[in-house]
Amino acid sequence: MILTNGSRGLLSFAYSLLGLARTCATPRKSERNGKLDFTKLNFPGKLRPKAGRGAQMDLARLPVRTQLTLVLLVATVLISAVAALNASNYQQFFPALEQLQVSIISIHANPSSQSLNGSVTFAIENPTGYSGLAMKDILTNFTVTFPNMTIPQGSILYGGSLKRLNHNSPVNITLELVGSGTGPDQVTKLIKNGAIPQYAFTINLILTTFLDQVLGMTIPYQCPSTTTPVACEQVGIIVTSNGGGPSGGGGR
Amino acid sequence: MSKIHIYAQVKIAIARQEILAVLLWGIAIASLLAHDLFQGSYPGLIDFGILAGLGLTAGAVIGNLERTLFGFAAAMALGTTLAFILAVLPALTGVVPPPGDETVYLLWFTIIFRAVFPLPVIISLITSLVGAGVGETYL
Repeated sequence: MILTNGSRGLLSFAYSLLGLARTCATPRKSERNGKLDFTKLNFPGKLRPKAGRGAQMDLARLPVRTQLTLVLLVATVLISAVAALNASNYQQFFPALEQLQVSIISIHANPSSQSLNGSVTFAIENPTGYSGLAMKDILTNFTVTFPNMTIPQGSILYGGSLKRLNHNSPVNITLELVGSGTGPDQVTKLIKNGAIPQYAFTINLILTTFLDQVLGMTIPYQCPSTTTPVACEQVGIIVTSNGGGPSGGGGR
Repeated sequence: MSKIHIYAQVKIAIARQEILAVLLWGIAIASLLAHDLFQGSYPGLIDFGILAGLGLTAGAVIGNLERTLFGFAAAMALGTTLAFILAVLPALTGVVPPPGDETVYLLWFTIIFRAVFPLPVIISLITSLVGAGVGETYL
């Protein structure tokens, strides 16, 4: 009825709800003597909900205050219906932060004395139904590890465009592996001596959320030393104040 | 016996349009806050308009300046409390475990306070009093 008759139907529906509330609270003649029977609902003909033109005429006959109450009821139902969608999405916000997955899907390098000449591709996936997360930036620190030595290679900032993290549509980010300082040269020498390098990444995923006006969210991940695709582990959630709001840190 | 008595009183209270109006007003305020804040925005011009409309209507239904003032306080308290409970539900249900839950409480207390004060409160108060004046005089 509501869908087919539009706003008129909604008003009739609201009227019937109000009528029901009023009717339930109105005792029958026999009940006014002191006996209340709540097992029976009475619907006097005057307040029985009617559809179509009948309901329209009844609405016009109602006192202005009752009509205004109906308007308030309809407005509240409409606003609540819209808010319910946002509220239900919000309830998945924290699980989405917690379950956000980062993995290395490909990694290769061909080191020379000047550069590592490689690249790494990260896949970032939001497995929850929450919509509203986006990746603003990604800051990666990485090291090249050998069985008896770890060589820091500096950090890489993604600096690309904003990537929305929608449900089950992974975002792939490819970063160039160059290395810093004497790192590539050291790696090249060790490889020439027969050592096998592995790459270890620490990732800081900088997010854009609906709380950006008050809070900044960064999720750090630790990826194990690898030369093959591997899943990274979430270390915690770093919360920073963005002007005026509270600040703090969360974690597992 | 006492349960039936309370039930009857609640039903009669709901049937009183003033109480129903305050309840609806409070729920509408909570919904409006939830709609805006969960999208990351504070109430804007359209929301101020909706709040004004709600205040006018509720005030006219109550139709008494003194009662409207109490109704306004009750509706605001109900609205902000409902919005706060909805916002901190993940912390209450353990989805956000300690110590992160404290941040969630503090965060939403601050956000809701900033969202409600001062304009929405002033708009709701003034429009409800105007509505009450109209209701008292013409309805």
